[in-house]
Amino acid sequence: DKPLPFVRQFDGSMMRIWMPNGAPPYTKETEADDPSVYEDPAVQQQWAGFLQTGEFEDGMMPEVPPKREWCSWDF
Amino acid sequence: PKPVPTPPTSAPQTDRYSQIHKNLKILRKSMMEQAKVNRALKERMGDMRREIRKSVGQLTGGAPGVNKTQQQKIVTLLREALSNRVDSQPMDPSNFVLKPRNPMEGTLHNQATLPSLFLYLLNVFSKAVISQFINEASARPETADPVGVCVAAAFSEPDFLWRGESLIDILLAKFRIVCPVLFGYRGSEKTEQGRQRLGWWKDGGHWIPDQQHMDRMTGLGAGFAAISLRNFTKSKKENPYPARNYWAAMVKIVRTPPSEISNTQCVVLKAMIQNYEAKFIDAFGNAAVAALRAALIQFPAKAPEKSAAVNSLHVLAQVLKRDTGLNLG
Ligand SMILES: [Zn+2]
Ligand SMILES: [Zn+2]
Repeated sequence: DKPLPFVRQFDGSMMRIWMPNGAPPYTKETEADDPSVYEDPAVQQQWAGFLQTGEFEDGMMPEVPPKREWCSWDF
Repeated sequence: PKPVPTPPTSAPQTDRYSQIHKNLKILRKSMMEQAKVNRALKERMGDMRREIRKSVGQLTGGAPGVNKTQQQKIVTLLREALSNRVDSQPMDPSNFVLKPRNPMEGTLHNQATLPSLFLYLLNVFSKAVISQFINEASARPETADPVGVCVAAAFSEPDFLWRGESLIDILLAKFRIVCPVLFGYRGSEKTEQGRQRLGWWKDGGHWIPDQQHMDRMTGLGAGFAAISLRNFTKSKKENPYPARNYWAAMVKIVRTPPSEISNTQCVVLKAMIQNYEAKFIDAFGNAAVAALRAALIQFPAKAPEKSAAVNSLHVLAQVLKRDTGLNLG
């Protein structure tokens, strides 16, 4: 396997740079097969919390995978 | 106290994969019948089956390109079956796919049938793959990865598509039987019926031992990730089982109502995450991080019984923190 890129954090621990090249190229492979589900209020509701906090409230992972534009890779 | 979350509505409705699995048994029987009256088929079919099984058994990790020979062998055999020189009966592939397909303009195989030998060998290939996950990846999960690469490569071959889509449902049908929790089935390990629903195998009429069951689930969880987290963004071919399916399988486990959480689910969940964190994050970015937190921290916290399998999820979170700095909390 390729060597993994790491950086040293302020507290001395190592942090892996997960995305050394930034966001990967766009693909519909990670989005729902049927894009119309993203207009469903129930789906939007499941994702609303994450869009504000970056977490799933009470660990309730949304059933529909995220729209690509809801994800970020700069962390 | 917080209200218990309602179960997801995505619980399987009709069990199409089990039906496909039955249809595959009928297909294998038909091949044996055909072989009785078709000498050319009889002579070739057994050899092809053995060669495919052997090639799958030889897939290995290590240097790039080490599996080229095996992969090409498998594809060549499937292509030979597709050419149908031995005159196997044509068969309707609808029996082996999840959703009905209409003819699709401009695709290679649009007709209503494909050679039964080709469909049969896809079944042979799939069974060999599953057996590899169960027998090898159970003890060494990393061995699942080259098998996943080969699966994705074979099922995505443009001339192996039917009406524009892959025939990977043949493999998934077998997955559904051996690892039902990936498809949203739940059960209690303490009851006969529950074990059956969880895919606990029987040997000679008896449930196999705990450890053996959990080992199988480890191999199958790793195998599932190896297939569903392949990256095709640089490929001209279409991914036969893209990452949205990985998300869906994880959701079905993670949204289980606490009282229905099983050790089997925990073992599968851990196996599908371990070694695949980077690929998962590559696919879903910070949503994958949130999902990892849900799976490795919040899900085990909800489980009423803190078994070793439940705790192992928490341990994986700690290992991730130690090795990569990813702090899930
Ligand atoms: Zn047999
Ligand atoms: Zn007995």
